[in-house]
Amino acid sequence: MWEIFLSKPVLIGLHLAFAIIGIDAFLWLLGEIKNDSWRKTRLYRSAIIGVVAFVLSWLSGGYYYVKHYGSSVKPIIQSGLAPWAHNIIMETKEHIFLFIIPLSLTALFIAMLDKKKFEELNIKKVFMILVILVVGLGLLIGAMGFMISAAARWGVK
Amino acid sequence: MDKPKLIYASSIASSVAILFVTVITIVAEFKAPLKDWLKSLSGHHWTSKGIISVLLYLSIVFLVYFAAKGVNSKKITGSLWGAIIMTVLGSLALFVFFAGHHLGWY
Repeated sequence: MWEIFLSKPVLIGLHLAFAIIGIDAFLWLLGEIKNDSWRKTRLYRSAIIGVVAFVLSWLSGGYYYVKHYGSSVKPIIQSGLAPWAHNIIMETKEHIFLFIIPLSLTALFIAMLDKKKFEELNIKKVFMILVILVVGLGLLIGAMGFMISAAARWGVK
Repeated sequence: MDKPKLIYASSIASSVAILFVTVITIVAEFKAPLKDWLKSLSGHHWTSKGIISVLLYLSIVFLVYFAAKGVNSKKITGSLWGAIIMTVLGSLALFVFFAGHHLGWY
């Protein structure tokens, strides 16, 4: 059972699925911030789902990266038609991913404020930009992941 | 719990953790002993960077939360912008660094 759960295709699938859930939850959070009625339960729920999903995406992707990628995928990419897919894209992606967790936690803490305090602090604009940044990074990392997978599949000499 | 203080502490800790990952990644590419040391901590340099950055983030959140005084709207807005700018600069720095490394600029 664990053998299947920790296999390459399942880990990649979990990494991607959790990342999509995290991005979608933060898009939901963005809509809730834009809505001036400040529905606290929905704000908190969307932010906590996003944070948990990003952490799970990090753990599943990280396990895959450490356990499988270096030994069986990286050598194929580096000896193929697109070695830059590892040397530039993967190297950048694996480190940028580490930025998402503290940023999404910061967004969660803002989502925990009550309406009165949020309005007093006057941070709606910067909060929206922070959430857009997390979503943008998530999408960028997704696109990078696609390029890396494509280089391993179709970049073989 | 003082939530505005927690937001302030978290945004400062985010900036520091992002700066740490960016700097140690670039420096470790030039200093093999540093990369070896990171690898020796957990078995993989990336895992060690992840663990250290989380510990750094948590420590700074704790320190700033208990040390900061007079946290107001201006300070929170500034610290959030700081985290946003640090993220953009860190991402660009890593991309340009690895692109240059691959293209043999240095």
